[in-house]
Amino acid sequence: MRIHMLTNALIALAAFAPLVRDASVDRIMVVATIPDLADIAREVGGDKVEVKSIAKGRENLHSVRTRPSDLVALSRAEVFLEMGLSMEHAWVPRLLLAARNKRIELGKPGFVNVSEGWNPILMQGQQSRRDGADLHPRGNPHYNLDPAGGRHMADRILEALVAVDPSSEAYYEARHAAYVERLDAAEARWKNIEEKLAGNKVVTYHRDFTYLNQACGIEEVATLEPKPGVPPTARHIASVVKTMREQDVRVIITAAWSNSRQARKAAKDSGALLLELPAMVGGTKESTSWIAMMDHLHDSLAAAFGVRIENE
Amino acid sequence: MYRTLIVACALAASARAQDPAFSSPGMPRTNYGQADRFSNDFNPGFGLVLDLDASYRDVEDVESGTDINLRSLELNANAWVNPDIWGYATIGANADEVTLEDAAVQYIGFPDHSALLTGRFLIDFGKQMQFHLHELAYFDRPSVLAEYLGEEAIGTGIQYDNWFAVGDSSAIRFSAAALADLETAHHEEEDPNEVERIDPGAKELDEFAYTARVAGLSDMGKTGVFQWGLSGRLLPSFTVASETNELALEDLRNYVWGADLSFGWGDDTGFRNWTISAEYLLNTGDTGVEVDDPDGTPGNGDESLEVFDEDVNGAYTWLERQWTRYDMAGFLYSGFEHPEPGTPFDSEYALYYTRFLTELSRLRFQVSYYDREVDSDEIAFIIQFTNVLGTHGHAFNW
Repeated sequence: MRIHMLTNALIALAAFAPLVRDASVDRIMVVATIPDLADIAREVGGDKVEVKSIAKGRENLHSVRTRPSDLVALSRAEVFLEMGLSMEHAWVPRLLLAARNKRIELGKPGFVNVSEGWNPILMQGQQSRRDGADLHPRGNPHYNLDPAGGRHMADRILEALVAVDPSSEAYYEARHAAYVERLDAAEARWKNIEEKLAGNKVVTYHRDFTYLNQACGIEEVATLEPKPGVPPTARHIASVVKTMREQDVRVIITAAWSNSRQARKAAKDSGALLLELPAMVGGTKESTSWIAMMDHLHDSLAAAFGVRIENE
Repeated sequence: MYRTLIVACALAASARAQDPAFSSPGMPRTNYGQADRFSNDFNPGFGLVLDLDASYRDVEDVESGTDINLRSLELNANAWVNPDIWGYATIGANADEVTLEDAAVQYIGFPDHSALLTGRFLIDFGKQMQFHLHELAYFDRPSVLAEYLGEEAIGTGIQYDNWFAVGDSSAIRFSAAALADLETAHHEEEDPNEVERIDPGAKELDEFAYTARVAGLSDMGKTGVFQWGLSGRLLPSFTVASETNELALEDLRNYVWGADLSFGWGDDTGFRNWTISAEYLLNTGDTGVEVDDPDGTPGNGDESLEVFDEDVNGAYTWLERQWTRYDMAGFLYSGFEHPEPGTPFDSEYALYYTRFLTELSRLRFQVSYYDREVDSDEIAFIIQFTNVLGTHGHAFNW
């Protein structure tokens, strides 16, 4: 008797499931792994897309805690945007597997690895476990922090939206063109600051700001992590502090997740400024969009190095 | 076009090999082994797990001493056969025996979120029964689970599961399984009066074991996830026997019901988290069988089997704090009633600290205290060292 009751209850649940699951939406559901991709998808997709970001902006991307709303959104998504280059590999594959949405499986138009076509830096080729924990053999994945990254992400997102919704191509093209125009203006602003920052030196916690520093001509002298993903040790911090003194390095850059006790100790011991910067949109209150984040990054670096910005 | 699809599907299959499914609060850490930092394109993937422990145990009025154990050496293989089918097998070995732990194939090619799992697999009951011991957040299976369901409840059969969304931030998952055989107890070493559940081979449907679970997950607050679950394990008709005493009893039945609640929350960096989880179990029907041996000499003909049919219950709860990417500590309490007359009660208290040296290597320190009414009290100091070499994959459920 009890078995029959349970079976009936499960059958009832199963029968009810499709009614809930297949709720249709008018707009294209886009799920992005990070807020940077989500912001640009909103810019290009306009009111034809509904966009959700899984990460919120302050996480370490190896430790994003996914939630039921992420699973539900992925199960309904028509487009899935990931940075790629193993940036989200700790959690994306299992989330996609649980969502079981064939529209966004690898190889389908709805699955978009935004890194395709990007020329990554720090390509390691072969790496072994001895080289660290957070390893990216295909290159540094933090290209969302390259001033040129916005244009690349916008181009890839345009391609993706057109592939999934070709009837709206003209609409997406127009919005993309308008966004690129804003990028042109922003890039001119940033270029002006980057030229003045060239030649400075920093220490970073992790190599997440390397694209930005390269664009600015800032030399990364050392990282607080002895190896990628390995927390700083007292001995390593002492060695970095010594290097900072020898090379007159006055700024340590961290993200929200890496603004740790060890980073504060290194700053205190070296007398350097500890500068927390957004590693993603949403990483600080100023970083409300990708362009706003880049403005904030450039302004923060300029302030940290005492560079005067003339508003044009 | 068809060929293009095949290529795309093959790529999809290889890219997601070895990766565990979506996880929920209270589940063991699932980004385990070489499923984390590197891209995981191995198909098939092979892995080894070495689970070692060193302990000092002081059992009141009985003995005390130190021991070092290779608790398990687990060889795991898993692979995608095509985009809709994957399989895995685990062979476990310890100092005494080599056993086939899991060997199952899962089909996920249904148009909805259904999945069909068939083979030999850990049962889907509550939050902590679908994992091997070495995957738990603490050293041992909570005592109430080990007592009512078995230390490793592994069955051979078929399981259907499905999930569906409720609104934008909740999901409900349910599963049901029919198992032709199911391990239900851990065996006491060298106990001449051990009573075992007998597998009759070909059997009627009511001689199968059945499990069912329904669980709901919801976002709560800015970072929290709340989960509730209800589980059942049904043995509608089974036979037990004592080999030494040549005794058997047929047509017994036993039902274990469980209700669990879990909540996980953390800060916005993803590194600093709390998890609290609890599960209540009700064990009904024929809850225990033991040999009544008046003269204490097994096998001389005066023995009989005594069945206990008193409903008994128990629960466990645990709280864990993770404060860095690699460090976590927690407290576990478990208590349960024995089915013997007077329903004597056992309690277990454990404090543990876990340090992930890397994602492949884990060190754990645990102090456990067992307050027992049937056997002697015990205190144990345990150091556990677990290493994953290569990949690691199971059909985890959330």
